[in-house]
Amino acid sequence: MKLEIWDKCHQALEKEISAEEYKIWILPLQAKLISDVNLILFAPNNFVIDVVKKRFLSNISHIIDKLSDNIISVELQVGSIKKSNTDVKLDHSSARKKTLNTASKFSSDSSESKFNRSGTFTSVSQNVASSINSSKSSESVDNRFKKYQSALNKEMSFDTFVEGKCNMLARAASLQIVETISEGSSNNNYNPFLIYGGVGLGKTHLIHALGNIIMSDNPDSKVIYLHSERFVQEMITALQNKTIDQFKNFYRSVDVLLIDDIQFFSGKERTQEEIFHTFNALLEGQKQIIMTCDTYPKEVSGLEDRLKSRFGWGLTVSIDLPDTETRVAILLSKAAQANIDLPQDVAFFIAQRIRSNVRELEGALRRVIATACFQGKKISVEFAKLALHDLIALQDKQVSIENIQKIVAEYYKIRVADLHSKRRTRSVARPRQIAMSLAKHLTSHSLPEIGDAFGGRDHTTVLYACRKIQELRSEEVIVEEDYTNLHRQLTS
Amino acid sequence: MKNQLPLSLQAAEHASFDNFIAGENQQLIFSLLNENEQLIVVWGDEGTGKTHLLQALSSQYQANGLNALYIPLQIDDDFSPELLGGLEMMDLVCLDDIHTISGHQEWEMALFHFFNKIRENNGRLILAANNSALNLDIQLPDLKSRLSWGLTYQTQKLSDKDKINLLKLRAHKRGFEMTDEVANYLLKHAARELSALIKLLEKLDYESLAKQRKLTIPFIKSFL
Repeated sequence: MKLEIWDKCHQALEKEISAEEYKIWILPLQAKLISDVNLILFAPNNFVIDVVKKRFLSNISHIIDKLSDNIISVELQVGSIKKSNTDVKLDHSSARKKTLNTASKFSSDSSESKFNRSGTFTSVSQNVASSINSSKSSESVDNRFKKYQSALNKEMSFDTFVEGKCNMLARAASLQIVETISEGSSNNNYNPFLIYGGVGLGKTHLIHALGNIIMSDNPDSKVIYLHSERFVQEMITALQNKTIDQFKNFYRSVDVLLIDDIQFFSGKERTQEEIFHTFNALLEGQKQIIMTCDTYPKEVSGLEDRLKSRFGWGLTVSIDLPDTETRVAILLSKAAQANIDLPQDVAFFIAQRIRSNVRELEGALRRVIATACFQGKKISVEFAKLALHDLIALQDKQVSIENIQKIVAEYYKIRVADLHSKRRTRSVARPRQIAMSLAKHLTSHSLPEIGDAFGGRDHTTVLYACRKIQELRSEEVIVEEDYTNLHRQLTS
Repeated sequence: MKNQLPLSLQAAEHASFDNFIAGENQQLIFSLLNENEQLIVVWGDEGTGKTHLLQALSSQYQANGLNALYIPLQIDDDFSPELLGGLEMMDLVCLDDIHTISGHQEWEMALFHFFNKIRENNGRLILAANNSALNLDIQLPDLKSRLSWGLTYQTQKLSDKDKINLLKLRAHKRGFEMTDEVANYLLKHAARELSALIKLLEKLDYESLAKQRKLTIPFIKSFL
């Protein structure tokens, strides 16, 4: 239900504050009168609440005062008003969104009627809080497991995982683990199991597929999937709420623990300590641990050595860049999932043009499908060429390592040969590090490839250069300036 | 002599799809309006309509009672990555100017995690930047690759003819008619950038009301 007083308040506010501020901060607020004297404004998060309080609350209160005979108190809360009470499920926000999305197809005529007079509303804040803070809430441990399991994306299964040379070993080892767990065998050499590889190559897909299949094979076992970030957040909350013991017990009691992107534990010492103990407890109890990481774990900086060594106890496998044939197979599989008839020659064309990672490949496919949908045309190679012309132009324009070396050498007035040379004087070493760092960020070449291009240096040298430059950019203005100038020169 | 001050001093026009001339951006608009497109990345030069489109979409959602938010990212004391906290519960989040956070570790990290969460929640995320994902100076490779995941469009500049159409449309929305001649004159002599032109239009509207003069070329000349 639209609230008249809030509508009027909108109109008045619009005159008092800048249009920009009005759009950003006022429009997202949803108002609800909970009694004659109490108006609640729901905001998406605490940050918005703080801004609104600081900048506009006195205006709002003032306007509401003038508009009403009663004295109305205005309160801000994190949350939102649901559109109706029939198509809303509170626990599963994803389910809720799907229903909402299908229910409201942008026809303004239906939206008004969808507001129920008694319009139920829930405070989203409770939802958020309970997911982070569930050890405090009264829900059962069982529910808690379910929550983690629902984070597993059902669409990421082994059926949709395209096998290629690049991931054959990782896939085979995964299936082996599934079998071992199902057999209940304690003789497991693959524990912990760690999948590593660059971004967008399918690590997350594989770990979700593992979670899904283990869960369906062993419905009673406690399978937990989470992103490393969530682990960190939960631990912080548990520390704040003094529920760290429950937190520890919970993680040490699972049967299978799947953690995505462990490189984000880097630099977080307290979390690492907790992970270390959780690890020990689980390994001792012969519970399976499965992880992904974006680099070879020994090379993640900011991870404790004892943790790195534990990570390497079981099996560590890599996922590499897919070759053209695998990219074609991936495209065909993705298209089939979207119910799109993608001719093989088109898949081949896209696969040849987009070579960096699977995400980019998917982005390109999306563009082709959206264009076909928009123009109502059949997908052919010619069509794909046109639909992707700007993406392809970008790819073609993508800078090469040679180009980076040339520009950097010119910028620092040194010779390209200096960048290749073994010399380590500052005047050459710093530009070389900057060039390596730019090469890492602007090209899709791997660390060893970049090392090769700089006079056959080791990939760890490149890694070190990237980290050094990142560090220096925040410490030394001149490095930041040089880097930004060069980046601009190379990308504009 | 004091001029008569017109009442609606600001009457700021809200961005909508009605007061936008699509030009070569039709497919982008088509995709923005397709709610199944969960992730769209829009990039392009200033003055090509990115902000307008993001705001238009966000207010369309809001008008339909859905939870939507448009935020231009900027790095200052008032804005911190906490801004993104909890927003994954929304139906639509439009983040503008994401190039401003590139190179800022905390922000990149926050955007990365936010990206994952809103995806998990099936919310829509629309991002805009002044450069393509490939060429943004983003340090976190995980974030960079996610940006190239979405449906990507480069916003296209309007042709002069479309700019003239836009000026006339905006004038009409403000309650006065602008001739081709006047629109042409503004384009040739006043500003080329669309945002500057629109601002000028608003000023001219105000001035002509205040001075009770018609919007003619001599009047514009005297104003410029």
